[in-house]
Amino acid sequence: MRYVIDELVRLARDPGGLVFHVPTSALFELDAPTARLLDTVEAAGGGSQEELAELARSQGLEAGAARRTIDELLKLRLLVTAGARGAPLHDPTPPGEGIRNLTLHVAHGCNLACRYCYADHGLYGGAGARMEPAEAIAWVDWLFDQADGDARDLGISFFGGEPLLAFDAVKAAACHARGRAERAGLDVRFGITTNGTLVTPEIADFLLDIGAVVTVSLDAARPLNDRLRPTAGGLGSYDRAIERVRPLLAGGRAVARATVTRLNLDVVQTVETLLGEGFAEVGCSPVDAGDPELDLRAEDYATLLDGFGVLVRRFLDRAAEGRPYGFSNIVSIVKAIHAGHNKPYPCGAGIKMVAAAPDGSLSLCHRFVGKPDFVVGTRERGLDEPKRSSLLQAVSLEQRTDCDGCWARYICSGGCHHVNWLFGGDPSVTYKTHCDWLRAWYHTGLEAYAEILRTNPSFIQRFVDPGWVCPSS
Amino acid sequence: MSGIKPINAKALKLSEAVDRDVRGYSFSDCCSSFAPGWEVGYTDNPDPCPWKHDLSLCWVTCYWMGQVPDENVYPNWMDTCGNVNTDWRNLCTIPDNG
Repeated sequence: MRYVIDELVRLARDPGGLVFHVPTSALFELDAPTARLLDTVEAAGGGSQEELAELARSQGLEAGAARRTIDELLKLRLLVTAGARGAPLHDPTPPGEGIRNLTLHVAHGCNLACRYCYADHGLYGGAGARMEPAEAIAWVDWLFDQADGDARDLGISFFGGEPLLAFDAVKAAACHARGRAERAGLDVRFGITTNGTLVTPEIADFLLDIGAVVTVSLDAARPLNDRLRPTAGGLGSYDRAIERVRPLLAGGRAVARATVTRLNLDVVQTVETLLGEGFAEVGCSPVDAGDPELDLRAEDYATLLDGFGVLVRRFLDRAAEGRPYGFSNIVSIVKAIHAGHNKPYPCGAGIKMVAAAPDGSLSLCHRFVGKPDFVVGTRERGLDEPKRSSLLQAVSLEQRTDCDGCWARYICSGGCHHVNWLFGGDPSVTYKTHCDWLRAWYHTGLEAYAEILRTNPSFIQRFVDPGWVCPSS
Repeated sequence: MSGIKPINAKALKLSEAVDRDVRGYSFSDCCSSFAPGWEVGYTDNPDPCPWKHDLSLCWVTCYWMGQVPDENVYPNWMDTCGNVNTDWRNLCTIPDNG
């Protein structure tokens, strides 16, 4: 039987380097003889167990050590038979079929007119709409009623449009959910994504009281932000948003999300500006507008990566001193690498999470609201299981071939379904413009993780807690 | 001392699982040990089927011939296992008198 080296990403590091095992997302550190052995086996194109042991001896390992090393490489699947190469080992999905996270679109409509909005200025292709408090409560009941017995915690994210256009619905839903959770002995977590401009002291108090993580959309320092995120009347929104969210910043519950377009590529300035305003974390996402003036081109992704590199350096310098730096993107990737995430789906859309719209429909996720092809149920009838499972089967990485051979495929898992659909007309066809950038970014993440292991390994423990949000720095 | 050190949580899990893996019988290159993960669920994945069930099916239906000894050489290999559900531990070695 012939054995070959499984798919690995090697990172140079004394003494022997690190290997990231692609099919399982396991990360190992090698001593120098083992690293040399892998090099030798790779150069030889593999071999039988006896041939591998001979190669090991040729690298200076005595017979017993050679046999043990080969045996261990086989057990850990770093060496496999040719037919077993690349066989994935995915993370288990939480048990049960029930939905655990509901994105509640309480308002379709927005007081801002962001140029890149994928949701048609919050309208999702329809007329403006908002949920009445009774409707929002009915959705909460739907979530709790369908949750299976294994569920210990549920999540509700308030979304829009601008969800604070329907704060009465937000408040009613959250209060009702807290009551039901208490009676059922469950935990319920809240989140809200807002432009921040409609936050009042009363709203801020309420959001702090329910422990909501408040994601505020802001794209850059004032001048650029105001160009990208004007009010419906054409005025700037930066000062108003910052002024309004101050109580949330003081409470340590606000994070910022910046949409990166060709016009605001200086992510270093954006992140530094928003951290300076007091946000606990700032994350950056490339825009997917379907607009050539705004969508990033290949050369823009290189600029973006350079900017991320500067921010990662700041993150690592702080980590070495045991201090956090709230650049969400690197925090997320370090968490994923630490856990060894390995998934056939890029996100929980349709699996444990769906989005509820004001018209009573359930969609695969918030981005697909208003697209009939991706409606997977209604509040009245519940989930349309055949359609849900058919959509999920189509997007599963196990059913696709366009990511074959990519070492990052089980981290990225084929990319956002909505982005794939937006650019390729099909959620199961990978949008490859992102791929080089993502691979480079994940590689940066691996290098960053390796550096923290060297400079301050205990810092990694901060990432183990999934609810951890770094304190204001 | 091992030259391979697990670093992240997934690697630790795999390494620990290897240590407590159930050993299948193995001789020469024609009978593999049981593929880790499939039978013992060592990453907490649900088992597709208990390995003993897998073995029984392999033997009875010859679905996966490499999993059972060559019965021309070891005709009595199953003798110590009258009931695969209860006696499966006895399958860990090939009978010497094969």
